[in-house]
Amino acid sequence: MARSSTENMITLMSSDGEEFMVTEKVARECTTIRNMLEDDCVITNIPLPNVTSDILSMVIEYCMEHVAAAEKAAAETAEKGSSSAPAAAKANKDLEEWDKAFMNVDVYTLCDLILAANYLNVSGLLDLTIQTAANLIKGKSPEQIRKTFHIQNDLSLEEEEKIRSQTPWAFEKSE
Amino acid sequence: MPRPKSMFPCGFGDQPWLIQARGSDKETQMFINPLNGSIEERNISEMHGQLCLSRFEEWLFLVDDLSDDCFLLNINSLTKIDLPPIEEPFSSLGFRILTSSPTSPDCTIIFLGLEENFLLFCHPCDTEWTKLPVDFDVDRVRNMFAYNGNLYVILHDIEIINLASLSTCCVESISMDRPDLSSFGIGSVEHLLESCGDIFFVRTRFPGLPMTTSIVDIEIYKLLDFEDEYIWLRVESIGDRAFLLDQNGGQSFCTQDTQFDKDCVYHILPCYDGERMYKICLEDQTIEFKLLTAEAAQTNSFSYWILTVRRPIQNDELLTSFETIACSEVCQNGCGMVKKDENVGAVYISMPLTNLPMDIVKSISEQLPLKDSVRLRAVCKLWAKQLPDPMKEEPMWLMSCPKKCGTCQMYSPCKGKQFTLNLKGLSSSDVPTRLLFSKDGWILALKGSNLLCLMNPFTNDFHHLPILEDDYSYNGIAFSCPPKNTPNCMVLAIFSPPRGDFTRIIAWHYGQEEWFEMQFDNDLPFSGTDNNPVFFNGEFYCLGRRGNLGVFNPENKEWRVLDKPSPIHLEAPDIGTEHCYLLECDGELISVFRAFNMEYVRVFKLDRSNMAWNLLEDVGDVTLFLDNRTSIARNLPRKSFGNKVFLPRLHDESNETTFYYCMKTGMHNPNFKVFREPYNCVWLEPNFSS
Repeated sequence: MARSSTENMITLMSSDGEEFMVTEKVARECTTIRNMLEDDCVITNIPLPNVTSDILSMVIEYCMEHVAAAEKAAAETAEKGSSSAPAAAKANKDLEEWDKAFMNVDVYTLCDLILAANYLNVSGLLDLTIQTAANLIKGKSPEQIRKTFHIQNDLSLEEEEKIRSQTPWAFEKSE
Repeated sequence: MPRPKSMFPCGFGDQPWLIQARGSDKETQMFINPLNGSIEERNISEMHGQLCLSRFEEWLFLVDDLSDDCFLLNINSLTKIDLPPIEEPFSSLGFRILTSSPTSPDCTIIFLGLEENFLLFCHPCDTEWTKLPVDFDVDRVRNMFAYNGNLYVILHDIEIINLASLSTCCVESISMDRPDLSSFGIGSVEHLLESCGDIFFVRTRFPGLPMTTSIVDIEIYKLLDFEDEYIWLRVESIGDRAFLLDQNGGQSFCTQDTQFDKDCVYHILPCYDGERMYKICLEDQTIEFKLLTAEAAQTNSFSYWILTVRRPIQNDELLTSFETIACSEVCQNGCGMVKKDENVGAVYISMPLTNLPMDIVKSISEQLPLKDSVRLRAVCKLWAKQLPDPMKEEPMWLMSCPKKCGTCQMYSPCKGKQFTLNLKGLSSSDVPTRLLFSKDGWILALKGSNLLCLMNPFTNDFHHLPILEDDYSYNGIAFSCPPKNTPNCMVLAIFSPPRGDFTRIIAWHYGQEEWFEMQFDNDLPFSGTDNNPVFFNGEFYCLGRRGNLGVFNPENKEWRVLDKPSPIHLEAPDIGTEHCYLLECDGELISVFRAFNMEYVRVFKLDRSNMAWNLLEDVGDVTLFLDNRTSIARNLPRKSFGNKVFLPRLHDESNETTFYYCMKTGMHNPNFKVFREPYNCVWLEPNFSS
């Protein structure tokens, strides 16, 4: 594996002007930033006009946690020659728990995180947030989905009835 | 005098059991618990050396297999009633029946002759058997049933004989039609039984001989008496009851507060691998079986259902829940939801999720079960318009035959989920409908015995084909393309007998008013299989049981049996031991041979330059959906489905995974035998263009 030569620090700037200093390794978790760094290796200050400071801080928190977990796993492998399966499983489980706790956010934050993960192209975070949104939708009626996500119903009764009548079984109660 | 309970297995008397008397070969009798298949051997001295010929509730009609002495035995009290010795040799006797409990005045024990047209009967107190001539052909008897002082003999019609008239030596009988006489080109077993004072007719169907293959379909009819006119009404549900069928007859059982599943038919059948207990679930139209005893059932030592407890069935309750239940439930649910959602109207300040780019909402939708992703489209205008209809996204369905009210079970093998669709356009009549074939979203179905139709369940398009002159009885049927491409649409049915000396073909061109029929003598033997032809390069290819090919050219209306590729088998394997399939895959012909028990699955590709079958190690990214009605090979977007073989089977409880066989590892997942098989179903690729 190619090793980054020094711990370069990168400054990320949120839409509201706040600056975040992160290691290059953490920044590279965002594919969008990695591509920028590869195009222009001397860049150290990256403005991110689409991401607010509170959301950017969360994205960075996610990337740092996942980089740390990967480093820890790599160090253990190097030490023992091979990674022990139970230890790796436990580390994975810990990280899953951390992800789960990290996703304990309101729907506004969740949607902003999805947008940021999509823009910065953090695949792990995008999968995590999309799955979380899906879990919030699962088992709900259209009306409950609207309530959960604060969506206004702009369908006419006829339009809604048309969709329902095409697949009535999907709108029956119970699982 | 009652014996100690320990003579019988624990729980005997609380539920139906299966009992097997085994003659003089074995010391013991077998008691089989149908719920778990556990076998307990017991030694009941009264049953030593006896074979069971018939039974009624807790009474067994037993015969000593050495001395031919016969008697009735109450399995609960072990009360024995001796019967007069039978003068006729047993080899000349066929069907037999114990009509009722010996406590009933009209209790009669009856034999029919095997070849000679006679009837032999006695009552429990008689000193000898009486032989009477009958005016029906005993060869043609399919089964017998007794109820309310009458003996019902199932022939081509049903002959109803007044039991009391037997004693006058002047047999009074009337005859009644048998329900739907369609032969469908396959074997069947028929039972009559009584439940809550109603008479039911049950017909289970097999692709071949019942001894060698498995149940593929079931029909149930209830007898209605309209001012002395008898009408058979096809029913799709038997409510809280279960029907218990064996070699001798059928009984009805109330499943309330028992571990037996309601609305099911339990059927004991000897098969090539031993005696099987089939459970046919009428509600979700599935079949599963348990192998009871591995040793092939010997003649006369079959298992019989023993119902030692008569459980009262509450007739009133049953009648209301009967048959219409599936229909009304669906309708109520549909309307109920609509009403509930009328009170929409709160004003929301923000719409965060609708601000998400559409491809992200699509990604979220893809993570959802089908039902939820359908609902997502009913949330707002934007999503209704922009989200793909997941029904259309599903590349493959396993569709069961629609019920009378139009509800239809659909299984998604990719999602491993089961749904009930309401296909109003397909709600059927009283004639049974059988799904025979599918292609490009269109299904070919047989209604009754001679009416074929083409239908697209997703667009409700429908085409009736000209009525067949004779009943449908073919090995295979296929059409070249959906009827919308009218000039090219041709339907072809083929029959080749096991000997393979001739082939009969009927064909219909779109727009024509008649079928044309042809018969060809085969230069090379061609023994037909029960899988369907494949329309390939302008010709219909048919796979023979040995793995050779026959081809019908619709242009010059010629049939030819190919000498190459060479057959895969020198001798055709025994019926029921192997299933084979022919299908098109990426412009090539593929044949698949699998053992009935999945011991092997062999896939061959036709090398068209050398005309030879080449064994394939794997099928790459392709997924094979196999079934004798329609087999489809597809390159699905989901790579995890690649190199796998799917059969029309569902998981026992959760339905969460469809059964598959992995070509790479040679493993099937999970256990093949715990799967339920939907009956009367077909693989279907959706086609939404009308």
